[in-house]
Amino acid sequence: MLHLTRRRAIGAGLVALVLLVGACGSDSNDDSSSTSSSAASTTAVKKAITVSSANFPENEMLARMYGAVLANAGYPVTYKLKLGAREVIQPALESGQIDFLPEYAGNYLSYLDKSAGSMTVDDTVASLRKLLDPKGISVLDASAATDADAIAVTKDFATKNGLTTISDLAKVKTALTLGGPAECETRSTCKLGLEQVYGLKLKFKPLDADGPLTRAALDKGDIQLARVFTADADLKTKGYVVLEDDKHFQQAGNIVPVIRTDKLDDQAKALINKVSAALTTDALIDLNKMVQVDKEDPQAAAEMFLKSHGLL
Amino acid sequence: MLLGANGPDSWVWWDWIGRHGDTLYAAAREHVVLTVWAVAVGLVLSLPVGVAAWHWRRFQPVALGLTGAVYTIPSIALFALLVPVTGLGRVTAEIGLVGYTLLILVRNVVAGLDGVPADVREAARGMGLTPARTLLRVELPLAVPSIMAGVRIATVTTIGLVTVTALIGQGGFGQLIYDGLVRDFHTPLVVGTVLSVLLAVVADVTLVLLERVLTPWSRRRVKAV
Amino acid sequence: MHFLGQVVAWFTTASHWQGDGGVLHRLGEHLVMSAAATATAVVLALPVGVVLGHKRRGGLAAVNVSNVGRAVPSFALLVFGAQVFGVGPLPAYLALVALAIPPIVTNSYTGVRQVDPDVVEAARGMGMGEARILGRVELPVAMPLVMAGVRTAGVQVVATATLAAVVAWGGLGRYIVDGLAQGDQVQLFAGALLVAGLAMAVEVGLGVLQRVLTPAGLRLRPRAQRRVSYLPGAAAAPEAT
Repeated sequence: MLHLTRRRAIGAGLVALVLLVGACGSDSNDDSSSTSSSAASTTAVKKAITVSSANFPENEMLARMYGAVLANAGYPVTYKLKLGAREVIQPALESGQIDFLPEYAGNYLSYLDKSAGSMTVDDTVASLRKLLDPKGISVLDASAATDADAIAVTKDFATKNGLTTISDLAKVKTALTLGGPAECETRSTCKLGLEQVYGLKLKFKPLDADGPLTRAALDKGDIQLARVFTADADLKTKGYVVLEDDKHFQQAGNIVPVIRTDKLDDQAKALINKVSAALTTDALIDLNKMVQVDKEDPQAAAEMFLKSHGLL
Repeated sequence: MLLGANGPDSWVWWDWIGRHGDTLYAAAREHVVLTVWAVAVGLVLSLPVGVAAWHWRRFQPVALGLTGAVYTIPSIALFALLVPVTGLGRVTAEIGLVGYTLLILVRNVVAGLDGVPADVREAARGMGLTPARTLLRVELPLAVPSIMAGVRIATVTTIGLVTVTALIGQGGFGQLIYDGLVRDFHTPLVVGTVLSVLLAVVADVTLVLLERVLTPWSRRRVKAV
Repeated sequence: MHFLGQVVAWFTTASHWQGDGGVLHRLGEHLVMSAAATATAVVLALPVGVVLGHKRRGGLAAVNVSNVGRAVPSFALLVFGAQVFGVGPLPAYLALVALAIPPIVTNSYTGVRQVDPDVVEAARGMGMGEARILGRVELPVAMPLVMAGVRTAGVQVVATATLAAVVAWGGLGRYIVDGLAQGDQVQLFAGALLVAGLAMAVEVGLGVLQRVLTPAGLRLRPRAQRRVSYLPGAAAAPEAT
């Protein structure tokens, strides 16, 4: 029976696919933007906050850090972590599926405004606020701690080609392949920027956010350039050379927490800003080492930092 | 890297496992919840669809074709496509997971009903049972072994698929596997995989026992086990 | 409809078909990888299943091991591949081979095992050697089930190769993983259509191959196949990936 009707079944399957196409197409632009509510901070009941992170260890650790402080103060905190790239998370934040996220000022701005150039942290935060306030998203104080994107090569490759800056790459005659997370290909702070600002002609290999796949590909020679994070503990110990961004296409890497305005009250704001103020780039590098090299839990590393700074 | 070594870089870091009972328990619970809901909803949908597909032969290719089409879409694509529509939550994961159980379950419901011997059906009619009562009291019970076989396959398949939902923020043991990937950390990968397989085996054995209970008339060999 | 139009535009853009990231190249990668993995699994698994089925011993253990193998999440297999072998085609290839072995072992064992013992005895009585019995009698009779296993494995491999994009391999899964990461719904959807279409084509193609390779007199009656589909251990149902 099943086989006699196979051909018809496949026909029906194709019809089903078409129906599916229609169904998905019709509400792909579901823009359920913010409900403009004034943050009623006087209520005794603390609002539940869904804390989220992108899919790389540092961001998860930061999410745990802010989340722990909020939970400690009595906010009902739930976590949705490792959600992927900004391109996935931002829509979830705007539609209220998540409430809180540790962001990185410059990259965040250039995601929201492709034409934004390089600028100071304060200007970046001001621009972010202008863009996000109307969407019901509050941008809190930027931390002094930075973790910026950078372009790294192996020491061998740097020595052989005499590379210290990104501009030097123009001297390299062989084809260059850049490796990084998939979203790098279409970002002005990544492959697009390298091509536009530095006039480089690059191939691209989608890997991960300065994770094991990128490292493996760089070591193996599948890629010559890797998109890395400046706060990664093992950049130096592993013998990679970070090329100087001499034309400043990279953005300020300061950590800046964002939260949906309807979930923000004065106490939460003070708590979050206190954590951001305590964080430094050195601390971030140490914490990254704990999580990525010593395989400490992101949560445990975060709590260790908070306790040592009297925040928990 | 050696199996015998016991540290952050070894394949199994026993201390880590010892310190993460809570994590493992939470992952197990999420994995079970996602699986049970998916198979239960899948079964509730598949029973009427299966009966209808068996009763109205013309509907059969439509039912099997539709469910078959869903089945051919790789899970990561289905989950990714659902995200803009239903968001990054449990609902998205469940819709996808339920979708994958349908083909297996509908097919086995139809096969089970087909397998009911004609003389049994005739006897039921002869005893004056209405078609509806025949279905409920005779045909469906006799189809239980086939339906349960479907439930077993669907359950084991779903347990594997749940791990992929880690990519959309769910995942049960898949979260451990994904953590292993992101942090280049072997232990959660090994633990997540082993526990996922173990869960599948336990679920399968449990369903075999459940089938014995549901079909007491076929319990002849129970002593031999 | 606006969205559908964008998807159509994606497919009709020439640059999406050309070069290393183009559909043709990705499709080629996907097919070569899937074919290589499935073929390797056939070479490794078929003899094991067939010989065990012929000896009618040790089979239960093989089927059980094989079924546990089916329960290993393919996502985990790929991550293992990446951690052991780094980046490149090797991790995806090995993970896919591992994935394809269980259904082939199970089905070829079950297929040969189910051959009527009287027929085998008759062949023996006619003075046929064991190898000839296996090759001339048992294997042809078992062919429908053996091929059903290959087909199941093949479809599964094609679908899982998509997931290999998560561990940095190419193939059609790139459009899905990249589309997701870049927030590009159109690319994502185009990729999903391509993969679903390919999976269906492979399902149908292997179905045709299954029919061609089955001796005319032995083509499975639908009823017989259904009975097989819920025999314990018979992997007639493909596994979603």
